[in-house]
Amino acid sequence: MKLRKYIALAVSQIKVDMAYAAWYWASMFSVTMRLFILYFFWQAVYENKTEVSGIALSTMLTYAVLATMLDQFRGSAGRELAHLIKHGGVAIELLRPYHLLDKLLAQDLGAKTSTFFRATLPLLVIAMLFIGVDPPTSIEAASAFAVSVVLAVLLATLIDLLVGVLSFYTVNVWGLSVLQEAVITIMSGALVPLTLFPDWFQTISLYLPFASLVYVPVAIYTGEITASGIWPSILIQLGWVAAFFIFVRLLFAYAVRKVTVFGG
Amino acid sequence: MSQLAIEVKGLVKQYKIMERDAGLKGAIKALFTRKYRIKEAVKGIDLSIMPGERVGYIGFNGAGKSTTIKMLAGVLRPDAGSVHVYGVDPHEERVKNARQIGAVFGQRTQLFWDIPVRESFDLLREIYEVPRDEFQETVTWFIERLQLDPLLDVPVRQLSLGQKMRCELAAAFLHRPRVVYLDEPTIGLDIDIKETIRAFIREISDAWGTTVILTTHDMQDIEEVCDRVIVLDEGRIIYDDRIETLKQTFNNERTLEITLDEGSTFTLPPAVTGLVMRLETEEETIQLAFNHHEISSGQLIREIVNCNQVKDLSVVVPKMEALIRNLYKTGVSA
Repeated sequence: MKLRKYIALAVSQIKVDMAYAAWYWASMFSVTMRLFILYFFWQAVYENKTEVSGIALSTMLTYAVLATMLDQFRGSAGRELAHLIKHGGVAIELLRPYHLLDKLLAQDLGAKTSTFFRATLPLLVIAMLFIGVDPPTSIEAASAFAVSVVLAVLLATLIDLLVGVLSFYTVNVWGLSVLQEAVITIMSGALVPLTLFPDWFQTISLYLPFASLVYVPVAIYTGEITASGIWPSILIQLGWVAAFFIFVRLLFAYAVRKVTVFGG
Repeated sequence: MSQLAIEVKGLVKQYKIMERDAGLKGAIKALFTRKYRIKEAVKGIDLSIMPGERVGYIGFNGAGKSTTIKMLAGVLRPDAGSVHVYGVDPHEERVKNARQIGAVFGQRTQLFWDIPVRESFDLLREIYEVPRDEFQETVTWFIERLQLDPLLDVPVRQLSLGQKMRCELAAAFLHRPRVVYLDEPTIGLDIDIKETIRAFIREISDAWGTTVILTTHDMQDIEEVCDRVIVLDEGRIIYDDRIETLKQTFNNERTLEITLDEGSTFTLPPAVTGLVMRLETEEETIQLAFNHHEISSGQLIREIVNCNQVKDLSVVVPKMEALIRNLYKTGVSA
């Protein structure tokens, strides 16, 4: 695989993102608002308590801030693919000397890189100044957090791509993608830590890939997943990434053989 | 043995079309039971195209042109038959094939919507792994021939149709492909830009020996760019020959256009019955088709003028367009 062309695609995506200033400020504003809503929500919950399910307010706020940040990295590769399929642009893409999934992945990682520098970092500063974010519990937790975040971001893109590939079969994946959004928001732990849910729910999410998206990395950071649990959790993440990577490719290869390209 | 640029044998493509009854009732019924109808878009095509040939691939809408091109490009998988482009099976070795072909698909852009033209080209250079100095040489040449200079820093989405099509064409040839598919590259463009585009295709193809497959509804494109014509009708090839041969076949066809004095009616002289055919037309004039060999223009005019009160008349030598229309009617087989 020639990496150069994929890097060029990623860089080009970063440039494209730079071009949309209005959209950038709008999304910065909406995430800032979401941060403050979370802040006041948890303040209210902790009104007469020092902890909820064994979690202190400062830990909960740290979790909420990091989860919100990570939730921004859900990715749009699948939506892009669905759009290409629905509007026939996929025909042009298939004429190019690259693997379409790799191209979308490269563009998505480019987009996420620009999101990180342009949105995540400044928002993190805002959060630290006005809400308060605890430092990581240990150096080991901090480095494991970094690894875990990368895996989570990759997994998010792959899950998104899976939904995109399905539009080869259904043409309109809008319903599916709404469902995907909802399931991920709840089951990834983007709203509240999974430990706040009932036991049966936690058991189910143990066997599903969604916890790897947000809960695992953030819980590693806050120390909810303790030292002994860190590496097994990361291995599970790695397993999900590998599984989705292979599955999406197979499904794509199969779809391209079967499919009718629309239009013309 | 010289290698063929494109070799196609017994190519077939079928589409499954979902059928449903009209109206809400039909829509609801379709949720539970699905009926499919098989439509055969391409019904067994054979093609041998030499390197450097410029082929006009024409036919009515729905004749199967785009379907064939998509199979040649590797985007669609044939249901039967084989395709080889310089020895490569386009669908099985899609990426390998992608390196040696270029394409313009009429309405769809292959440039990158959000970034300026120059950066689109740079990105294509990376994607096709074109060496930098070769790329520089090509781009400089294209910029001059297609007058791209003022467009280079404009984002693609802000280009007009004519500007965009010139950039599309440049993009399709940037990596010096061996085969280029052009699906209606001149649709909706004004005469000047059409001329520029035709001249560009000719020049590049001559310089690099690029094989060009061109589909269009504009016969002028075919006449000025191509040296071979393939006519497709309902999924079958009904004509495949040099463009000169096509012209010679119908060389003797003429049309006489007659305008009569007001109030008078047309009488066909008995002497010419059977030699001319009155064409149905929506225009005011009376149009008679005849073969120059069977009756000379002079003789026909003399007969007509003798029997009618003629105000004006003219003899028309048919253009490419008429030749093709004639082909569909008579169905001269290859």
